[in-house]
Amino acid sequence: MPAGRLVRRDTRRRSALIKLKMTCREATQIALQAEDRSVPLAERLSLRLHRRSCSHCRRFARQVQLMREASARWRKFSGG
Amino acid sequence: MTAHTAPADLSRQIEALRSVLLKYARLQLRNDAWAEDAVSETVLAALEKPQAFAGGSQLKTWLIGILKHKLVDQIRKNCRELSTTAASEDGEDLDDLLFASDGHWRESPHDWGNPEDALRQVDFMKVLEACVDKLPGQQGRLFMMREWLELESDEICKELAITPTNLWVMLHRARLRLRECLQAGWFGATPVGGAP
Repeated sequence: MPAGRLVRRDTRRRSALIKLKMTCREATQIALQAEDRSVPLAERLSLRLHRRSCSHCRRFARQVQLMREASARWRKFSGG
Repeated sequence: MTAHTAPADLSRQIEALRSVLLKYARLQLRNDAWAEDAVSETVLAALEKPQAFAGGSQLKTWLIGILKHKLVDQIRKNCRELSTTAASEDGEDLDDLLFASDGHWRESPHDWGNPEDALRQVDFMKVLEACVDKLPGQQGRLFMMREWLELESDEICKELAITPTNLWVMLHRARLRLRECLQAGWFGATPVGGAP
């Protein structure tokens, strides 16, 4: 199967499929959405696959994590 | 002291924290009149029920806890106005600046170093607050509802009658903006984790 193709062809079920090739833009979108919804397994796996070969997106993931920790710290700071 | 009035010194301490409460109320509501109302209700509730203050926790923590409830009340009361705030007021999408047309990063995200170094510092908290303050109105409200009031996404959608997709788009923009602001105001401005 060529890279960039979906595992299954049924485009109506696109969201349930693992994308073999995801762009950084898409990876960023999913990484941020994960802060506010439970991301379906297929998308999580696609993201993981993408990050394996993309140091930029790995770095972005660490920034998102830092922002999450910062928010938690800020909540305490504001109320403490 | 009767059951329904606070002792004078507690009243004074509560009044002294009014400006702090107002800061967070404004950050959340982005509307001065609503923020004033929420703070007045908070102070009133505190003065009427001083016995609810358990003393063990800090006064500020107790008041912020009350304020959070009053802010949710204000959001409910003004939900119609809040939900019709146009997304177009909320500025450009940063995505096109960050990504080339092929979907790759134009520039690598910077290494922010060890989070503990930054997070321990009060100055970082102030930069973070300033960055949240700079978020455009609706993005700022939604970000605050999610991160500061800790509401679930579906609660936010229900309160404001917006779709989940709309919420995610707005939070996506807010988080990217916040990231840019932290990069410019902290991580890019200083040696990583260092004081400004």
